[in-house]
Amino acid sequence: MKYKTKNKFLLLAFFSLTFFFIFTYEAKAVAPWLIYLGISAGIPLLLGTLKAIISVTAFITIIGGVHFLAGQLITAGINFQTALLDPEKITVIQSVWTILRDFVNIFFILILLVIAFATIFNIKNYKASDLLPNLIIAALLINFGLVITVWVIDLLWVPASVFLRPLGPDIGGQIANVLNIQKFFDPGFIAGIFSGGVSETVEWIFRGVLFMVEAFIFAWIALIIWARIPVLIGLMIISPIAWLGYTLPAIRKQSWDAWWSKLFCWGAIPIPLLGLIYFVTLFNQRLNAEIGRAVPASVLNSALSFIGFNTSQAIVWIMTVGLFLGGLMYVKGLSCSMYGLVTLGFGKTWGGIRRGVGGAVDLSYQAFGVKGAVGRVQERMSKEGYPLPFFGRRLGTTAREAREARVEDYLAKGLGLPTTLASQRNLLDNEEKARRDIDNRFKQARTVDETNQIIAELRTKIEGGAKDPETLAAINTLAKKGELDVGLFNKAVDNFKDMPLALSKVISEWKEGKFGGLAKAEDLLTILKDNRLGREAKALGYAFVASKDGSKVAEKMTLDDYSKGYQILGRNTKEGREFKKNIGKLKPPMVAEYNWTHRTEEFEPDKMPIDMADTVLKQIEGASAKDFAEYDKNAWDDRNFRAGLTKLLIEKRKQIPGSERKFKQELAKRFIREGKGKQLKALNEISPVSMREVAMGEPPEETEGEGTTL
Amino acid sequence: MPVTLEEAQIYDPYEAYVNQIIDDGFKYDQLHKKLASLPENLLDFIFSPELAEFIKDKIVAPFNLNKQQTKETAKVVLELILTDIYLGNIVSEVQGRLAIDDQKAKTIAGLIVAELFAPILEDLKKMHIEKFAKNIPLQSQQQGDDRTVDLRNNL
Repeated sequence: MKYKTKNKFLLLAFFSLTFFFIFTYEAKAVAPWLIYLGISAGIPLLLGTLKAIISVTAFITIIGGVHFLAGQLITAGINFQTALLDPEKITVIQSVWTILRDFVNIFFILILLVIAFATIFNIKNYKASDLLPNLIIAALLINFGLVITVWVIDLLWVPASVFLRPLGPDIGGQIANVLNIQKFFDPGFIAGIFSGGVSETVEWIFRGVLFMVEAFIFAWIALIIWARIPVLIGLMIISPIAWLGYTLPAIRKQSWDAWWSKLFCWGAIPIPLLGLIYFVTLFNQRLNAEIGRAVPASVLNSALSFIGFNTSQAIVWIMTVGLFLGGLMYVKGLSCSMYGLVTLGFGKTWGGIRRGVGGAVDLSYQAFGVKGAVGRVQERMSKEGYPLPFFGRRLGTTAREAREARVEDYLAKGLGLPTTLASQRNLLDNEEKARRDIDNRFKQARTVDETNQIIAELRTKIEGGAKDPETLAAINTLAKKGELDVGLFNKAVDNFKDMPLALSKVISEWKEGKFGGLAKAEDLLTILKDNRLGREAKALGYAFVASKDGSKVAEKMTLDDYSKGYQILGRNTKEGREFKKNIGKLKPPMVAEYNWTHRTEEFEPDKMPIDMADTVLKQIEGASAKDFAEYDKNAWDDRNFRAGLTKLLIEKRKQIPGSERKFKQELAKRFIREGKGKQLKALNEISPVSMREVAMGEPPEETEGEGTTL
Repeated sequence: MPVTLEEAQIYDPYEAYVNQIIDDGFKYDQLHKKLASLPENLLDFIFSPELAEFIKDKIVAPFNLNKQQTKETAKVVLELILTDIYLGNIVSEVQGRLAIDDQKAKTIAGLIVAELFAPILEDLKKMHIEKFAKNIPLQSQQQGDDRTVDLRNNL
């Protein structure tokens, strides 16, 4: 079309010139020819100019329309968002939400069934103890899901309104003022252009470009404000699904976490957006006033003066528009990080409250003489897995730890440090996959030779010393099969010494393999003293020593071993108490010796033993004849143990005369039956004389000499 | 009356015996080997509290025995259970070791065999017959010695 129009103009010009030459030739005058030529050439120029004016006008009208429309939308969106997001006014939200909530309630019954089966089949993460607290919370709070959502949206609007108040109700007008849009249409300014003013023309073209950019900014802000409203309504409606997701670990991330993330992301957008508008407005006003002082007049006057342009105006425009565009690019990202900040802040705050409350209660308890009671209760609840949310760390532990690991890794990475927990967990995840492969190989092995071949390969793999999931899988496989010797274990520790979680897993697997592969029982005690092992790994090892399977190791235990194990497991933990009890059942003199040297910690002031024999007595009182038969036979060589036993018999006699003899008879009978000659000899050496010696200060019982009638 | 550990030194057969031989390693080991080889019920009987109480209440107190006689009574009881001495010779053993008259010895022997050993008597008889069948003192039987108890007929 363009070509055709152009051709028409050219044809018209050609015929005009020909006609002019034919009819004016005779006149023999050159000047009229030139006039004809000028007119002929001016026609297309005139038409082109006309076309350009129409195009520019149309463009300005469209951009102006976008400006106007977006400005109106911004103002309306901000003024009416509260009403549009109120389910009491827009009742359809409430209606749809109710239908969805009733539908989701059906699934809670299904989840109860899932929990029942998971509990029966002992499925990790889905047992009653894992899911029931979450299910109860979700089933209750789902009914308040809509109110909670509206409340969160309202809450997030509060900081935004801090910026909104000074901006006033006409936000669109405020932005237009900042960008000085009106100047573009100023009649005086346009008249200057038509009068041929160069500087006005240059400035008008510059303003035209800015006018487009400003329209873009307007549209962007309007889009954000209006997209937020339907998204938030959608989030309100689907809130029951999010609460359902809270109960099931498999979909929690996709539903519960994602829902909260979106809610905070879109709910919080007005905070950075209105903040940006407010600060840019403020900045613009101040810059207009202060640029003259900040930048020397010589620079302002000379920089763009050659084209007759106002330099200070240009600086203000560029900076204002730059701030707007830059700010808008980060608005969404900033508001979406709100969820992360809130959860992190909540975690830290909750942790702080817990520590504060714990500390305050602890302090008050200390004042009453029960030092650290709260801490001990807290530790016990944590260790023993009480599913109570307060003080204990049962609820949400996994999610919080995962978040903390992510934050820790993020910070560590920022400081150029190697990642820790997350990378270890990643290693363990991959190790599990590699383990499955190895397990499959063992299942497929049909002969002993084939099995031995796989074991040999795994040994070679471990000796290779690589720090990868496959090597860790090889170590753990051999550990679980009880095929790990000290040499291979040391190799494993060398490989993974900076990964305590990995080493804990090795010890955990080896514990299942009953630490098979060790040449001597005492080798385990040496391993547990290795400083390269973490506390958790050592705790696992010492817990094994205290178990029935570890009795052979426990027999070899020295006071130093016991002391270390007890300290690692913790005297106020379930494991620590088990350790003390079980080792005490095997080696009472050793435990008594520890208790005596730590008597201020181990005994209440009113139950403080007076000597070692008394400490042994406290250790063995209540023990049955069977317990005595199970004591390490070397215990009977211990002078303090025998004195403690003598004291026990004295105590029994004091309570019920004759009961001490019955007890001794029970012991003797059991020792004879079980062939425990050493124990029996020691028992028989306890005589009335030795009892009197031990009783110390007690008047000897009246005895008659030989031949005296009884 | 319950017997205390101190009193057990003389009333309890095991305690009385062990206290006497505790320094003699050979005898001590022999005793425990025999004890370990005893049937369950006999071992339970030796270590039952009632044994010493019987000796104290039914024998020592009524017959006014002194400490040495008491010890000997307890030892005789243990030796009978261990078949160290023949049950048929109980009267003469009691008379000789307690240094008491014949009538008293018969009464004490009767109490021991008929009352004290009542729960284990059948087992005890079997053991004694098994061990002493070939060596039953024939002379005593032929002479009609009333200090000898005929396990096959009298009990």
